[in-house]
Amino acid sequence: MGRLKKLTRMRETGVLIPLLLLWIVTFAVNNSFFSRMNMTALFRTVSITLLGTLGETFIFACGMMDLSAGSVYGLAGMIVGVSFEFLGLPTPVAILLGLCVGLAVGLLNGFIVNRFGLPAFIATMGTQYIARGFCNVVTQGESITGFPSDFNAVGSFGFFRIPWSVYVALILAILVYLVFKYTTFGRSLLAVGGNRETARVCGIPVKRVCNGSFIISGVFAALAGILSTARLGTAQASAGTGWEMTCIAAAIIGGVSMFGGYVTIFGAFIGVCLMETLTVSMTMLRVSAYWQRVAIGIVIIFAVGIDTYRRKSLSGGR
Amino acid sequence: MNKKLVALLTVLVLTLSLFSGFAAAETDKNYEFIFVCPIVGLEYWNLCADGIAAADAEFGTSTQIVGPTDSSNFVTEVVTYMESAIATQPDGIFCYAGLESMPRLLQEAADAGIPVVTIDSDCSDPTNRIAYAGTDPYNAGYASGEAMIAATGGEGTVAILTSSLGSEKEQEEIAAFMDAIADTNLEVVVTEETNADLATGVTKMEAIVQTYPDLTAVLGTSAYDVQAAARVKYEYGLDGLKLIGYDDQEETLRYIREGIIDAIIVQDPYTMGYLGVKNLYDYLTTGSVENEHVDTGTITVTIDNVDSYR
Repeated sequence: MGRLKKLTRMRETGVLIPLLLLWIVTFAVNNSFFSRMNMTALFRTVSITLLGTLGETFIFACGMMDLSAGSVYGLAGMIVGVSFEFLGLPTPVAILLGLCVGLAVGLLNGFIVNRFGLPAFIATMGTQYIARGFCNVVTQGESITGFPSDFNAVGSFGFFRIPWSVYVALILAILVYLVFKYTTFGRSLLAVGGNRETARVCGIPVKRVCNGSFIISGVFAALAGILSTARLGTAQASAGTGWEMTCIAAAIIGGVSMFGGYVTIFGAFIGVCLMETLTVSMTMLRVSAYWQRVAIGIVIIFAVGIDTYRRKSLSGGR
Repeated sequence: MNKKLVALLTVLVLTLSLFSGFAAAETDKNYEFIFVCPIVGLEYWNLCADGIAAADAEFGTSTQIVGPTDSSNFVTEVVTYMESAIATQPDGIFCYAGLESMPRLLQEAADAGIPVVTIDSDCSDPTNRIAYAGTDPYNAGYASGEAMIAATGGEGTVAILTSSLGSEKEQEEIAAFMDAIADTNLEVVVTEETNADLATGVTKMEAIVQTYPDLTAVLGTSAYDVQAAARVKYEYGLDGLKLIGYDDQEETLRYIREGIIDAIIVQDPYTMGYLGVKNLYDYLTTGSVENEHVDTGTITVTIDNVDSYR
C-alpha cells in the first residue's frame, strides 16, 4: 500500500497514466500495436527524439531553451553526407565531423548568450536560421544518398534485433540521470536554474555551466541527426524541421520545469513516448488525417491537465 | 557595453553590405523579377531554378528567388513572401499559386500594376495572372492512377501518403487519381500527411503496414513520400507491395532500378522556371505572351525507361 501511495505521488505518474491509456486504447482497436515490429519502429523513433529531449533537459535545467536543435539535427546529417559524398572520409571521421557541428553550434550559442547577454530564446533562434541556412548552402538543397555500408549499419539493428539508436539513447539517458543526481556539474545546472544570482554568489561558475549545457544540447542534437540519417539512408536538407518543438514539448509534458531548477529524466522519457505514440496511434486508430492534429492537441491538453489536477489534489488544492 | 554594441552594429552593417554587394552584382540587368518559391532548396525547385537561370542568361533579366526553406508552415509563409515581393515593386512576379490565399494576393499584385505569371500550379482564379506554365495536376494525378492500375491489375487496397493536406495541387492530383481508379477494384483505405519529411513519412508508413497488413499498394504524392514507402518496403521485405510516386530525385530513380518503386510521374520543373521568366519578359517587351496556358506534361517512369526517359 505504501509503495502504491508512493507511486501515485511520483511526479511522472500524471503523464504515465495518459500514455498507458493511449497504449491500451490503441491496442484494443488494433492488436498489432504491441507487435515486435511496431514496438521496434516506435522505440526507434522514441530513441532519436529522446536524444534531443535529453539535450533540451540540460538547457531547461538552467532556465533556458534551445531552438537550434532541429537545425543542428539537419546540419549534422548533411555534414556526414558531404563527408562521404565529396570528401570520401571513413565512417568514424564522418560521424566525428557531424558531432563537431553540434559542438560548434553549442559553443556559438553559449558565446552569444554569455558574451552579449542575449536571451537564449533569441540567440538559439538566430543560430537555428544559420544552421538551417547552411543545410541548404552545403548542397543547394539536394539530398545526399549512397552511404557506406558500415554507416548504414549504425542506423540498423544491434543485439537482439534492437536498433542501435535505442541502445545509444538508453545508455545516454542513464548517464544524464547520473550527471544530474551525483555530479557537481549537474547540481550546478539545477542551482543556476533555481536562482542564477544565488548560484553565482555561492561560487558556481554560471557562464561556464551554461556553456556546458549548450554544448551538450548541440552534441546530442547532432548525434540524433546522424543516427536518423543512418537509419533513413538519406541526408535531407529539411530534416529535423520543427523537431526541437517536439523535444521541448516532450520535456515539458514529462514534467521538466521550463523555468529551471528541476529535471526528471524518466518524465522526459515518458513525454517522448507520449509524443511519438500519438503519431503512430492516430494511424493505427484509423483517425482521419484531417482530424489527427485536433486529436493530438486534445490528448496533449488532456495529459497535462491530468498531471496538473493530480498535483493540485496532492497538495490539497493549493 | 557601448563598445559591444558598436562592435555588434559594425559586424551587422559589414555583413549586410557584403550580401547587398552580391545582390548589386546581379541586378545590372534590364528587368528584375521575383520568384516566390514554395520551398527553397527542395531538389524539385532547384531544377526550376536551373530553368530560371537559363532564361535569365538568355533574356538578360535578373530573378531573385525567395520563399520559405522548410515545408512545415510554407502555406502561411508563402503569403508573407508574396506580400513582401509585391511591396518590393519588381518588374514582374512569378509564383506557385496552388494555395487558397493566392487569388487575393494576385489581386493585390494587379492593383499594384505588377504582372504575375504562375508556374507549377495555377491559381484557382486566373483573372489576375497573365500566363501559366506547369503540369496540369488533373492529368498528372490521372497518370498516377493509370500507373497504379498497371502495377496492381486494378485489384486491392491502397494507402496514400501526401505531404500536405492544404496543398490544392496535391489534393487535385489525388482527386484525379480517384477518378482514374473509379472503375477498378482498388480501394483507398487510408490517407496520411507527412509534411514532406522523410522521417515522418517512414513513421507513418510503418504504422500503415501494421494497421493494414494486406495492403496492396501505396501512392506517394511527393518525392519524399514515395521514398519513405520504399524505405519501409525494403526494410521489412514487403516485396509484394506496389509503389507509385512523383518526381525523379536520384534516390527515387535508384529505388526504381532496384525494383522497389514501380512507377513515378515525372514533371518538368526546368521548363516551368524557364517559361516563368520568358512569359514575363515577352509580356513586358511585346505586351503579350506566346501561350497563355502551357501544360508542361508528365512522363511515367518505370524500370523499363528509367535510364532513357530524359
